[in-house]
Formats: sequence, C-alpha cells, structure tokens
Amino acid sequence: MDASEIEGLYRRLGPFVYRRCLRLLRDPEKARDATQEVFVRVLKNCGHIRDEKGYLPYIYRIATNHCLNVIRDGRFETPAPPVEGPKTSTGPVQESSADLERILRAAETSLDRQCVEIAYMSIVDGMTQDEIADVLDLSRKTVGRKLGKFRELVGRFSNAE
Amino acid sequence: MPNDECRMTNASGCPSSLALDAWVLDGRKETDPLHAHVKSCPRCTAQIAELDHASDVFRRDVFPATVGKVVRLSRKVPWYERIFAEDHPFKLVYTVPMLTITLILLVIGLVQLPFSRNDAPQTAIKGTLGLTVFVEHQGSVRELFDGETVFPGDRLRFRPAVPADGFLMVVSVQENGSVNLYYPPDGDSAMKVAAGSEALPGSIVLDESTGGERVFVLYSSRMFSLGEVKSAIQSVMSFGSVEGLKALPLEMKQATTVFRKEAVK
Repeated sequence: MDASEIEGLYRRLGPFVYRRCLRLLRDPEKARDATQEVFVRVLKNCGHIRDEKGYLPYIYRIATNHCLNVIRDGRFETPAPPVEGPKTSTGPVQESSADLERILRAAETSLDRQCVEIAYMSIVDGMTQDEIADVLDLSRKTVGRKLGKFRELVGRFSNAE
Repeated sequence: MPNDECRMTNASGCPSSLALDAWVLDGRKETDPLHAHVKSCPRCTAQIAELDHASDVFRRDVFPATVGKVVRLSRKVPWYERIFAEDHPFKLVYTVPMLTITLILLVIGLVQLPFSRNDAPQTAIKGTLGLTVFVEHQGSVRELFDGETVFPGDRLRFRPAVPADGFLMVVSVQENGSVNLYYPPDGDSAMKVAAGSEALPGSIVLDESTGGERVFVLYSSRMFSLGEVKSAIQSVMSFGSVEGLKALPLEMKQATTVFRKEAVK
C-alpha cells in the first residue's frame, strides 16, 4: 500500500477510529494519540482486506482493546471531563454514560478484561452477541458466558459500594 | 472476522453502532432499511450526529496533525526517505551534519577496529525491546493482543524485537505461580541472539490448563539464568495476579503480554 492509499484510507476510516477512541477515553488529546496508534495497528492486521466495510470489525476490536489498555495502565491521573458533542435529548452518549462509567470502573479491577470489552460492545455499542462473537473471533456461547460474568462482577462492585 | 454487513438489531430494536457505522461508510443509502429506521429513531439519529461531530473534529484537527506519522509508520520505506520526511524530527537541516559526523565516526571506527577487537564488551544498548505474539486458532493465524483469550490446542509464536546483540529468554507465569521456560526450548540459561525482529523458532501448544498467563521476554547484554528469573518472579508473585504483574525486579530490558486460557470456545 503506498502513501496516497494509506492517506485516503485514513481520511475515510479515521473518523470511525477517532469516534470510538473518544467514546472510551473521553479526552480529545488522548483520543487523538490513540487514533493514530490504533489505525497503524489496524493496517498492519488488515492488509488483505479489499472492502472498506471489512475494516470496521477490526477497528472495533483493536480500538476497544487499545483504549482499555490505556485506561488500565493508569495513564489517566484524573477523570477527564465529558466531551462536548452535539446536544441531543435522548442521545446514546447521555443514555449510556452510567453504563460506560460502570464498565470503565470495572475495567480497572476486573481479572478478565475481555469481559469488559464484550460488555462495552453489548451495553454501549448495542451489539448483538453474534456481532460481538464475530468481531472478537469467539463463539456466541463464550460471549454469553462472559457477559454473565461481567454482570456478576459489576453486581459485586455495586454491592461493595 | 466478518467483512459482511451487520444488519442485526439488538434488544432495543435498534441496529448496533457497528451496523450504523457500516451504513454510513456505505454512503447512507436511502434504499437500505437502516435509512428509514434512522429517520424515525431519535436514539439512532443521535448516534449518527455523534459520529458526524467526531468526523468534523477528525477532519479539522486530528487528520492534519497525525496523517504524516500514520503514513510513515504504516509504510515500509527506506531510511533515507524517512529521514527526509517533512515532519520527521530530524528534518533536512540536521541531516547533512549528522551524515557527516556519522561518516567520520565510521571511518575512525574502521581504522581502530583491528586494534580494539578484544576490548570491553560491546554492551551499548539502544532502542527498546518489543514483543509480538501470534496465535494460531483452528488453522487461522492472527496477532494476539494484550488481555485476549486463547484455548487448548492453540499455538503461540513469539516475535521479539531485539535492540542489540545479547541474551534472550521467554518465560511465562501462570496464576498459580508456576513458571514455564518458552525460549530457549531447553536448558536453564538465556540464549545468545542477534539484533533484529525475527520470530523465534518453534511454537508453544497450549495445554488444558485455564486461567491467566503472563509472558515475559527478557533481554540483557550479559548471560543470565532461569534460576535468577524464577527468584525474581517468586519475590513479586504474592503482590497480585498475573494481570497486575507488569514488570519483574530484574536489571534487564523486559516486554510482556498477558492472556487468558479458557477451556471451551
């Protein structure tokens, strides 16, 4: 892939990467850094893909993994303020913010971070278990089992509070 | 990994973010059933608005600031092309003096080499140690990312990026504290390796055991033993799980990754 092809692909797919990183990290600067790292990793893993829509599952997988790593590694010293976006009364950002908060807090204590990735895709992205299984290359049974495990973990977390 | 269109809906009756993204990427076709849904659904309309806002910010701020680095890191380009890149930290103004100094040092080095062959060991270590892990699951090979799940029978292969000639060892730590030597395949000392990024010979076939496992690739300019590494692991294992065990108390370069082994897929 030459420079102009990479640039074109980045121009078209970058917004999806950036939006995903921004949703998870909630800090434009961190999301910008994560976007370039994630996109380079996506390209390294997807050189064989011809249809651009085929990149989306990889973007979801790699961006979620990368951003949860950033969060886990404690690169945030203090919680970032919410990102300014379009004002909507029933938008998914506001509606899922409580779920997102629980997921991110659980991410720091969970022993099995893949549970958190799956929970994020299910609760925040509204992905079906089949979609998650395809994106993460797992069986649907495993996805269901890990979702159950995550709910149990969050339940324990909430009770502890 | 699918590359088809995801048109499934979740429990709320809305398409997922993935399906909406695919529709947007496909040009928001009016003939697509998603078009009618988005028009009548405030929740999905808000999702699209959020994506549009992020796209505006990306095109205005993120893309111009990052495209050079993305292209440079994604392309395999010759060093002379990289160093002349517009946004390269060394830029052209530094390049000519640097090349001149490099040339002079090279000439001095070549002149002195025959007389200094048996001098102090060449232990100057630059750069960082890296580790890429590949997993083969049911015939397909992919990169294994930190925190992912693997299954019995999966094969793991390691590709360390070694900064300089030295000694390398790959070990794993299980949740129960047991330590496995993955490289070299036998013996109890690190193996001498050359600088570079080559996949290590052979692969590891995972057994039936389950739970977290952390892999460390360890590099030093000096020879070191497995006993030394095991002592270091035992001294820190009581402080938490393998997920929290991010470094060993050893004076050497380290890279690590963690994964979970599950019984059934």
